[in-house]
Amino acid sequence: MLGAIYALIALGYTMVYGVLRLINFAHGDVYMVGAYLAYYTSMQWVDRELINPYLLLFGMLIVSMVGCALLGLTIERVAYRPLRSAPRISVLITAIGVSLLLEYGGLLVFKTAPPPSIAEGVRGGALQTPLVLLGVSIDKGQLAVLGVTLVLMVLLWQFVTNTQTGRAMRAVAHDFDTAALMGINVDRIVAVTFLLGSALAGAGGMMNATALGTPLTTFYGLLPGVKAFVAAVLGGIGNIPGAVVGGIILGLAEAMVVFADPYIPGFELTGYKDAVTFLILIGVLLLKPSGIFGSPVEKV
Amino acid sequence: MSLLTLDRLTIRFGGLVAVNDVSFSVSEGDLFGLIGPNGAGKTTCFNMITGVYRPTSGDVLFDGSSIVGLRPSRICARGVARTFQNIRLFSALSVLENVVIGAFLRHVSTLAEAIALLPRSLKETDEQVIQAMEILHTFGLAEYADARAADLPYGVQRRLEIARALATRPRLLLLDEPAAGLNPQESVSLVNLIRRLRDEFSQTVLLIEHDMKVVMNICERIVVLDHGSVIAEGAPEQIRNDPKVIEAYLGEPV
Amino acid sequence: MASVGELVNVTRRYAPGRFWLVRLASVAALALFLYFLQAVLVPALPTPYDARLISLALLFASLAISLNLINGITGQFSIGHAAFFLIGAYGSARLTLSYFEAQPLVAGIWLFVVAILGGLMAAAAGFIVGLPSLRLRGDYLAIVTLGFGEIARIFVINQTGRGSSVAGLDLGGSFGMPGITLITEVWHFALLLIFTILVSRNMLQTSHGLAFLSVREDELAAEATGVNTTRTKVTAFVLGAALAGIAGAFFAHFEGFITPQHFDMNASFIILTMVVVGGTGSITGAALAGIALKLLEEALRKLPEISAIDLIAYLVAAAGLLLLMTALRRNRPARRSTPWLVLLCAVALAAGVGAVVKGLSLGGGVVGAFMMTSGGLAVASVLGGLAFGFAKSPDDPFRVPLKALGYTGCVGMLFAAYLVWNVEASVVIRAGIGLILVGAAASLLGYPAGRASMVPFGMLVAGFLGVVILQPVVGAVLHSIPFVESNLKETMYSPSNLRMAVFAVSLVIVMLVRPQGLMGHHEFSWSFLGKSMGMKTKETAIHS
Repeated sequence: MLGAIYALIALGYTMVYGVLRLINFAHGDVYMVGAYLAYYTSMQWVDRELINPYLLLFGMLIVSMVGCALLGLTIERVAYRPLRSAPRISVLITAIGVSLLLEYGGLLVFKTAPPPSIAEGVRGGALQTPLVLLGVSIDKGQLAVLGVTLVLMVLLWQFVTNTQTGRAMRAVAHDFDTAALMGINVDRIVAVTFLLGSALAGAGGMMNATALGTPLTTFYGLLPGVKAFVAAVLGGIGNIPGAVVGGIILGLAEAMVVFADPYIPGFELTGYKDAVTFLILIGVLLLKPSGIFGSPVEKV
Repeated sequence: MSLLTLDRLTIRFGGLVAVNDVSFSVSEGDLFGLIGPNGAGKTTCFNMITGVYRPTSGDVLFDGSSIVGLRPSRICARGVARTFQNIRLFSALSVLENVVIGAFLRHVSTLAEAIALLPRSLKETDEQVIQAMEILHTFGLAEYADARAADLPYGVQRRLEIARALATRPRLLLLDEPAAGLNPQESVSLVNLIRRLRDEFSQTVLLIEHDMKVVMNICERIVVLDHGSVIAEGAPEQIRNDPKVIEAYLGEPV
Repeated sequence: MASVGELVNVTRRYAPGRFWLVRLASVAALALFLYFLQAVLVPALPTPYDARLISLALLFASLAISLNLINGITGQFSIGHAAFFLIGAYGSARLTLSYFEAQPLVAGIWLFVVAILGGLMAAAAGFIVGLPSLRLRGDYLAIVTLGFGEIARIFVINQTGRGSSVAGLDLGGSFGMPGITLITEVWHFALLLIFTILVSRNMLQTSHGLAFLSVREDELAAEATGVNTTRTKVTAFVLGAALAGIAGAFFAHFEGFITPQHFDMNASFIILTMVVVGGTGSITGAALAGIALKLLEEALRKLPEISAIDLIAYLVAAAGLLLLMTALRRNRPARRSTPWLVLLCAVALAAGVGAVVKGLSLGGGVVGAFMMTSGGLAVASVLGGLAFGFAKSPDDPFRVPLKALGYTGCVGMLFAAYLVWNVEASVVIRAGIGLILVGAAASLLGYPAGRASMVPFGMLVAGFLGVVILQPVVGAVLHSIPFVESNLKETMYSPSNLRMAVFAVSLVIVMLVRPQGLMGHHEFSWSFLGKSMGMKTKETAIHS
């Protein structure tokens, strides 16, 4: 399930990179904002028993997605667009700056002490009783997450392959300047890309926070953000199905590390589970930088 | 005596064969031209010679030994220097600094010595600067010595790139479209310069060029590529009248 | 033939006697300076906190310069620099904790031994990190360096001597390592800074440094000109890492207690910000930015609490004005930018008037006088400038008042330096910030390049004034929004929590306004040939 979340965030990374050749460091923090938005939304209604819990969850999802989409648009407009022609290093540094800004700025705006978590009442209720399938008990929450993720991905895929905007996005990803010359409004396309990517991240944030109920801090998105980036690279950056596959593989790898721990005597492996991500990253970049599905990285 | 030999050189990019079974030899002291319509694979050949690309098959022999698989800086150390089709200077550095980097190739002192600012290192740097200044004088660039490379006019930048290549004291100079973007007077100066390079500095020159006047004026031997294969080789006169060459450029038999 | 200048006797510089004499003299001077620093200056400081401030400022300046070697000079993108700092610190600390007691060397010597060992360990790490540079482009390499930084940190967290440790290595895990013998003094850090500067500068004084710069400029061309780019890049990483490692060792023996939190991603970003703001490629820039930002960070701790709404108001106002200025940058043609310029002038005028009024209301006192004078000057510059501008160039009259504002700004900075000096704070902070203000004003006024940028600076000044007036307005607006009012009314923030936010903001601002950093590529043009070496070649020997 974790893999699905990574996949969602990775999709955002991969789309933005494909279009702008930019690693949007701030993406993980957009995810974090999504989680917070979900939290605040839930706080508005948590005491009112009247609302159908499913509706509430749906509402939280929408709020998160829309809010994050707007945030993503703003970031693009303010921080990245002016630097469209600057060397990539500058943009990368700016991305880091924006990320830091969101994290520490968030400290000012969001409640962080004590770290809030999405209330039991919201999480529980409809989703608490596990589903028993073939003798294996699956947490309904995780199932819901998987389901929603799949739906979102399918929607995205449809959008990218079948609509005109989607085709324009792919054109821009392929060759920025030519696409502009062909009359495509690249600014708009970039904005749409950010919008979609951020919305997905927001959804991911909402779902993760809701399903797992982890306490929220403004640094909540940092690690998942980086891991999602690795997932995107693993699958081939710029490649949409790749991001999904990458996310899943990463999620599985992490789960396996935790799983294998008891089997290795005398050495606790769990603490290293985050390191696994980075090792995978280094491995991929050294062995096949284009990722699983990606096209070869140009040399000259 | 053959300085550079391409032996059945081939390179494949995915399904596309960019250079197919190309062979020719450049002898010491030659003024050799590599021409052909756009996309014929000329720069790709250069890239293979200088080690930027690795050929799929075939060999490149420089001074008798194979240089395939060596990294470009090693190939440069062996004595092959090049310029680029789209000028690649060190833009934020000065003209003098650009050329000194070429002279730096033959350095003896180590980095540790440099950091310790030992006299040997300082002396060597000064010598490199002197060498560089000499080259700048030769190319008429001395007045620009402290100017930023990026601020120079186009023709001057071209000259600078060649000067930098020369600073590495090569035996073979590969010039990739040196006359591109130059006006007629500048082209004439270029032709004279290249001749001087061969006559005064005993450089062997292999150049890619589109400008026929330049090619016919300088080159003593020419190889013509089309779609990755050699279609003609010989003296300028022969090439000028070769029907295959004319067809390649004009697209139809004459 | 162009004449290049007089003869310089090249070999005279290297006459052995003279050379070594100069060397000896410099070493002696250095020793004297360090002694003076430690034995005279430090005891003269009012509190131990001041000494600590100086030490930290020097430390971060060194770190910034070591990162500059990799990022600025060689053009690589390393954003996990704290990892090398960490390795040096933990490595040396572990050695000290295990072996110091049992060995014969005196503490001072031991520190150097362990620092060198820490530096070597970090250098090895730098080598490992630099290797992938063979295959990776800029952004990817950046992520790898970040990843490495995290791996290093995670590794340390897991070394608890039990369970997850490798070979039972105990590095204190996430709780940190306490009890490290305190050896480092202020002069050690000064020595470190000087050493770091020397290494970078010496390298750049010879053609070896040029090789590094060439890799930054154009790797392909560098390779074609005989520079082994991989070796150069790896060397840069190794050097930068080694320097950071030595700094780490010094730091560990200064704090006495290190935790993984000291070396997390934020630390890397802080150092990165220092390099970026100071100017990639510029040693002085990196050093100055390091010192300045560190002092700023500490200074922020001392400011009084600020209410959340006020703060947000400042941010909103600043953001708006920043957008304004980037819009201005985009709109070069005078026509389209005119309305914005008018707006800036108007804002400055309003602020000026407001300042005068406020100053009058404060009655006497330095602050009051300051506000009145600067307000008055601002008003005068805008009005006078407008008059002058309309007279001189009717099509584009607004640049003149802005220019005048720029000059006013310089004067204001000098004033501010005076004010800062009279504030309740550590003498180091006061001196440091005061000097920075004075230095900035001086370079703007003194250098032709500075004077040429007076108009953009004037815009900056106007922007600053704008923030000052807008803030209460935005604040009032925010107070009137019920959601904000209810949730945030009571919240107060101490600026120390804002440190990182300030870094982040400055990073973004620098990137938007002047991507190459404050000193840009300025430095190496006078670090190397031609002028600095006084090198004019011999005319006659070359051409007869």
